Amino acid sequence: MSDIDDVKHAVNEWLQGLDSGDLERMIATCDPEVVICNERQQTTVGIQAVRDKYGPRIEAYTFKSTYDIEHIRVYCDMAMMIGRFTVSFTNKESGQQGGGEGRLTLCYRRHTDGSWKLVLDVDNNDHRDAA
Amino acid sequence: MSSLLDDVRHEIVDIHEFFVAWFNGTIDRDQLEPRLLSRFDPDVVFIPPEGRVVEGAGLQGMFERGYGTNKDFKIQIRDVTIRRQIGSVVLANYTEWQIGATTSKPSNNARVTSAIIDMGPPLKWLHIHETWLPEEVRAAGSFDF
Repeated sequence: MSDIDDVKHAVNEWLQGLDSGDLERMIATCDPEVVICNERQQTTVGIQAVRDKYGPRIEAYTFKSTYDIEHIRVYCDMAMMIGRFTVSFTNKESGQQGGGEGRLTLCYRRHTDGSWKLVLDVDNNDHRDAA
Repeated sequence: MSSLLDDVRHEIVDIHEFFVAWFNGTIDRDQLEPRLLSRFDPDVVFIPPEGRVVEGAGLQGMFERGYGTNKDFKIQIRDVTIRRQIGSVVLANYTEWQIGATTSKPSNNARVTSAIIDMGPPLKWLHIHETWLPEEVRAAGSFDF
């Protein structure tokens, strides 16, 4: 596979992890120092912060997510993508539904074993109805 | 001897000082290319908090239209942090505090920026993505600058 295919595979692993409620599958795509800058939320750094952020959400909700890549570039051992995300969620207990969409930058770093790991996630929301 | 963080902070502060001078109209108009556009990679992408994608000609047009349009505009850069260095490429975060903005609401606003910069030489900005800070952070921050 090409570098771009490998990076897209990493993105899909995250999405499928989220949609299947498998936090460890999501975590496996992250660099230890991953930075997440979600709109109007505190910036989080590191895998533990990802666990703390997504663990409770996965406990409480089921998700369906997409990411349509608009731009992708590879600079040596770094890959940068810009795209549109959508996410819909359902509360497991109440059945209440919500969702959102917007712009999302994802940046990956190639590790020495050849795998691509998420180092940066930045988003803007078209509207907010967050889990 | 300056550290990489010093160099990155200097670059980020310097380019924002240019933005302010440009929108204030206190710098010569012919400085757009040598002082700003030459620092951008040809494929640079800028995403402001509203989430639209601005590239190449769109970025140049945005600045050309904005020259001297806001004499009260101010920016202060805070919290410059290098998150990752991959070869000569640096991934940095910083917060940008604006006073008197006319194209963002509120006019006194605060955003966190992720910037990917090839420190070169030659230095080139590759990617800039801004998103709003939490409202409680903005409300608690100082706009006294």
